[in-house]
Amino acid sequence: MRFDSKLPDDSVNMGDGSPVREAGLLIIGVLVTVLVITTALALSIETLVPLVPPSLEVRVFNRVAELAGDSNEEAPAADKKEQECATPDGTRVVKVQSILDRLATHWVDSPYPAFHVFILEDELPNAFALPGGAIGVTSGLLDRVETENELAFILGHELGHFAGRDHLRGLGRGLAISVVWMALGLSGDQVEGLASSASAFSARHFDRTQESDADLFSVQLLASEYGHAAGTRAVFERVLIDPSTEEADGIKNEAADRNDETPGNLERLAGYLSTHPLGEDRILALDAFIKASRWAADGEQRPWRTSASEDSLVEDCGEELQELND
Amino acid sequence: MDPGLINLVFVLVSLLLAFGIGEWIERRHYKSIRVREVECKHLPTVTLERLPVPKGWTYHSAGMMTGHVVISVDHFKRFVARLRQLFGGRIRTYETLMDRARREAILRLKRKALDEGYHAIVNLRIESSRLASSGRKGKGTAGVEILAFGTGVRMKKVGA
Repeated sequence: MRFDSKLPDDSVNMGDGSPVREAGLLIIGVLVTVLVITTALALSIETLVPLVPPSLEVRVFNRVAELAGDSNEEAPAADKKEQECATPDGTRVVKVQSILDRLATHWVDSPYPAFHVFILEDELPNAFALPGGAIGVTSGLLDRVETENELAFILGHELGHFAGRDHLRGLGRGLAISVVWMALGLSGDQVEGLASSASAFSARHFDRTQESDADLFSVQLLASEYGHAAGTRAVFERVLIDPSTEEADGIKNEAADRNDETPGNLERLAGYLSTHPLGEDRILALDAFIKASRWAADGEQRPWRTSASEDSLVEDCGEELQELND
Repeated sequence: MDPGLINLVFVLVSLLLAFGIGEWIERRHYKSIRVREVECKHLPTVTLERLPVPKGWTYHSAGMMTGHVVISVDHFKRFVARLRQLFGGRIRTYETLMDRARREAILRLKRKALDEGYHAIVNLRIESSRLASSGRKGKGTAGVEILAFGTGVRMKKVGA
């Protein structure tokens, strides 16, 4: 037998085709699959959320808060009030809560028994609605707000999220997506980064509609409480401007400079890609709504940070404490 | 810019970088493999247990020969393979990797055998083993070892 010495053949053992093309096709496949799954999930959640009665939501999430160790619930009301009035943050909570309570009275068919405010120490201006009727505002937001009307618009916006049950939608979507990720074995995986980009993109459409709806709900409460809609524009132009989003603002300002009614492709893309519609878009939608409802866009605004208001607040706090003690 | 978009751009840029570096290393390795395969081509290497002995020759001595290589996967290959696990199909990015590793292990074995004066390798076998990593709760793969082993044989002329 003769030994036939041959060099290894490259052609049989290796797949043909470009690896970059293969990677590209697979990435597109993942993005499309995740988009379809998350959109289907979001649509199911949209259908299911209205079926959850607010009373059940309040019961369940108050129980969760209790389990999480909210010991203040057990403290007598007077003690709690004394504690709140004794600290600057406590005073601010009382003041924000009183604005919220007044606004909430204009929401006549509110299915929620009450709303509670809490302050989160954070420099970034932000506010959020949590299931069960809790509204969180950051200390950074309270520092930037100049008038009560501005703060009322933000609180009204969060009430608008309760009206739309948006907080449950967000929570439901997050939970559903986590379950799917776990089922696919993607949790903590490098592919999860890719998949979460696609799911965030899908969620955007739902979030954007919710933000605009909450704005319109808020301005109705604002007009009922103060008789005009002043303060809304300042929220977008000054209060919610975050230094880290300068890019989006840059695009917005550029559009304003050009005095162009129709946004260019870049602005449209930036608007679509951001969770909240660009400030300018929301202002335009609000202005149109205010005009159509024949409310005054300007009017006298109540101060928020003046010393006089702080004094009256301390007095209010004292009065409330007195009432509770009586 | 939107965080989701930043995330996507980061994933794609890191993949492209990993692909560029991985591709450069792979091409360089294949070039070296092909040169050395030509150099070692004359050494008969077979999977038979016994090589038919040419007339007038007999076995002189035999020895165990091994050649091994430990390889790791680059970010691009691992990422594409992970996506393949979702959709199924050939993991082509691993095919070139394993091909390089197998050929490199055999080359090392042949080089050693030539240096030690063996005339042939018989009973060539190839084994692989996975090296676990502490990543992903111990489920990660740090790399794969490919071991080529066989028996090197020396011949001598009958009566020498």
